[in-house]
Amino acid sequence: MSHDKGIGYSIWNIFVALFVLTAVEVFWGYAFHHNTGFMLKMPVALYWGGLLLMAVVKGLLIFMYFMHMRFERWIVWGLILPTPLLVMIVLAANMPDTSFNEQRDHPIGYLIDQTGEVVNALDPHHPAKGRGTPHGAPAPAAAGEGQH
Amino acid sequence: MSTTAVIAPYDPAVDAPKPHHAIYDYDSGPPVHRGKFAIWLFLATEIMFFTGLIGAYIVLRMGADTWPDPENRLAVLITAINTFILICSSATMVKAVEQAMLGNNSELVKWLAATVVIGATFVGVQVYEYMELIKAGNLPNVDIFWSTFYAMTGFHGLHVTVGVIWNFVVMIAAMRRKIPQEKYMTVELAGLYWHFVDLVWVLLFTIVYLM
Repeated sequence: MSHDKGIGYSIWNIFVALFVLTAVEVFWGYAFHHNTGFMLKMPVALYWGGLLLMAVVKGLLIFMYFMHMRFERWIVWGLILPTPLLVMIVLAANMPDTSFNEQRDHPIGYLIDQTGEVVNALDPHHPAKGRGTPHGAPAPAAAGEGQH
Repeated sequence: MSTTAVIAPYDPAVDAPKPHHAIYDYDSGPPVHRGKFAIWLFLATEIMFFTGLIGAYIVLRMGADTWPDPENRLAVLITAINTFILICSSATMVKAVEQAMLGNNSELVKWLAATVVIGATFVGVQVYEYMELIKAGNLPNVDIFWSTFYAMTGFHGLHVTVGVIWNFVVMIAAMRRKIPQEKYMTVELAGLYWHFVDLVWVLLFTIVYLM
């Protein structure tokens, strides 16, 4: 195993690819943001999908070349591949009780303030920093703050 | 008539005591270097650790009615530059491993020193970012955005700090000429950990700062 052109790749090509992809990601974040994009307000799914795709490509470049997984044997792949899958199974099993649970006394992001009232700590546009009804009417939003 | 006893010379293949277990004519260990096997086993646990943290963030964010736009709360451009810095340190680490494999000690020390300095710079920028956030009153107990932000970036920063110390120790060993060409794996194992830390940051930067 070597790290340079002898085995078919140049680390500087990978480095430039990572550099360019990060720059494009940041540009994407400012130009195409679903609320504040200065060029185009993309739909959320497309905006997030583009960012995730670039992040995954960058991660794969590091994983396959810098960590030379492209040249590793089956046993290393066997060690690594199941791990994220196992964690995702645990998280998926957890989602009905967290992400999709409408029966919580105190929804995610809400805090009990000093007066004992339940307030949405994530929504700065509600009075008293987001006092409102949990899972009620959509919170008012401006300039991207308080949005998914 | 007399007879003479003939004593055969000692033959270890015939006369050596027989062991109580099978003797293999191949290495019965894993089919990769043991150190590499161990570091990948460790990295497998690390993958689960960070996937758990990121997964918890996703689960909480999906369940929240609203979520602040990170652009309004975090210094995205400074962190983007910090991401470039960490990618640079990964490249210098690859060069260090390459020089270790070639047995070029002076170049190895040079590239390791660059990796340590650049890695420490990343940690420094993150500490600066934390200080500014805390000065503005954005503590982990303010809301769940800050809780998840500090949990993910804090644990990652801790890992980077450990990586910087690890690379520094390897650099000192190289300066003392304790890493000859046949022991290049010492540098490679540190490199695998370092690249993993870089890989985690690439994903964290996108998920925490841009999405």
